[in-house]
Parts: sequence; structure tokens; C-alpha cells
Amino acid sequence: MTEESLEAVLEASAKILTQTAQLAFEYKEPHIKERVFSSHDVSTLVGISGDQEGTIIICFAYETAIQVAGRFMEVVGAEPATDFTDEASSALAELVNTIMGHYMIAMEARGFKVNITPVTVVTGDRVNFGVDGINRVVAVPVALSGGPAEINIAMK
Amino acid sequence: MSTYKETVLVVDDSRFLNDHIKRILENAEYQVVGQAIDGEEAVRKYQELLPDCVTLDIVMPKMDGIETLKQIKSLDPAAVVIMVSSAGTKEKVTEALLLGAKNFIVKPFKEEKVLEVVKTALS
Repeated sequence: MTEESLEAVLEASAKILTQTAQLAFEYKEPHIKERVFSSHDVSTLVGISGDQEGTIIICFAYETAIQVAGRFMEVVGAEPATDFTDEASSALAELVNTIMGHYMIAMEARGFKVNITPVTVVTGDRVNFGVDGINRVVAVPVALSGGPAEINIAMK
Repeated sequence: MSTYKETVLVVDDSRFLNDHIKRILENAEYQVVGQAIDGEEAVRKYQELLPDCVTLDIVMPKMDGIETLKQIKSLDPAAVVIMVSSAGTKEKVTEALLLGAKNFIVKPFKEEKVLEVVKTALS
């Protein structure tokens, strides 16, 4: 079950980060975590329900979060953020929401109908997230042109 | 001589996009008479403000855009509502159009697209 979500979220992230945010990036070697915890300062959480259930958490280093949010703000014609303000946090959430919209399309192409929750933004490094029924988390580090990030897929 | 500015209610749970749509519309001489961040607030403000047009996000907490559209349309069948959707919500956009939404905008959008859709919807 995790494999389809993993492929779909990587495909969606690649599309949005390169085409919409116009950021260069590279996926690093995936690894398994026993618990769900944030690996960077800013975490964005989205719940998944439907044919597959779980949580996807995309974490960004503080500077990466500012860069990524700023790029998204520029793309829609707004003044880019220079700090991680409430507006930047909201823009980052919207960018992740866009990634997750494409994740839903990618899942549908794989034969799975899923729904997503609104994005929650949490700040703080190594924050633990209690997610019931999750016994394995696949983490994929991402080297973005704005700095490091990590995609965590925790599916039931 | 005063000129009438067409009025808009902006509904989006993303504070950034809500404010950004407001800025785009106000720079183009529309009057944003209200902003709402969920469906319940949107229905309440629609009744209170009776705007010429509503931009309505689909995925929102408390009450989503589809239910909000239904309630606004039951209050005012002539309401001009433009859905603001993310990729992946194609079925919901279709449902909204069948329920009487005038048009839709896909996020992330360009300023020109927002203005084109609002102008057409109000013409």
C-alpha cells in the first residue's frame, strides 16, 4: 500500500516543485523510520482517506520553507516572503495542497480513489506525531535548490 | 460622479490566497465587501452582504465549497459563484457547475485568469 502512495507523492512533488515553484531538486535514498517525527523545522501534514489511509508529512528546513513559500508567492504574482511569516506559512500550505491535489490524480491513475484533509503547518524540529495504526514510515530526503526537505509517507 | 464598483465576497481557508485574491480584485476596481475562511462564515456573510459575486474555495474545513454553494444557491438562486479549485478536484468542479456555479479557477492561478473569469461571470 505504501508503494503506490510513495510513487504518487514523489511524482506530484516533482511536478509541482519543478513546474510550478520552478525549483531544482533531487531525491536522495529513501529510508525507513520506526516513528513519525519531523526531520526539519517546518512540517506540513496532510491526512489521507479513502482506498488508502494514512498521513503524508513534508518537512522543510526553515530557510527552505521561506524559499519555497516565496517562490509560490512569486508564481501567483504576490510579493515573496523574506521570513517565515503567517503569510509565508499559508503560502507553503497552499503549495503542499497543490502537490496533494496532483497526488490524488496520480493515485487515481493507479486505481485508488483518495481524499485529503486541509494542510496543517507545524513548526519545530523533531516533533513527534502520534498516528494510530502506523508501524512504518518511508522517508525520502529531498535536496532542493532552496535547501533540504524530506517527504514522509506513513500509510496504514 | 461616483461609479459603482461590483462587489465580491472572497472565500478561502488559505489566508494567503484569500488576501491575494482580495488584492487582485481591489487593484482591478472591484470592491471586496467581505472575506470568509470557511463555508459557514461564507453563507452568513453572503446573507448579510449580498455581493455581486463570490469566489469560493472547494476544500475547506467545517463546510466545504460544494455544501456552501448549495446553501448560497438556496438563499439566492441568481447568486454568481466562481469555484476556486485545486488539481485533483475535477469531479467536485463538475458537481459545482451542475449545481449552478458560473465558472471555476484552478490554483495556482495567475492574476489575469482571476480577472478574466470574474469579469466574464459578472457580464
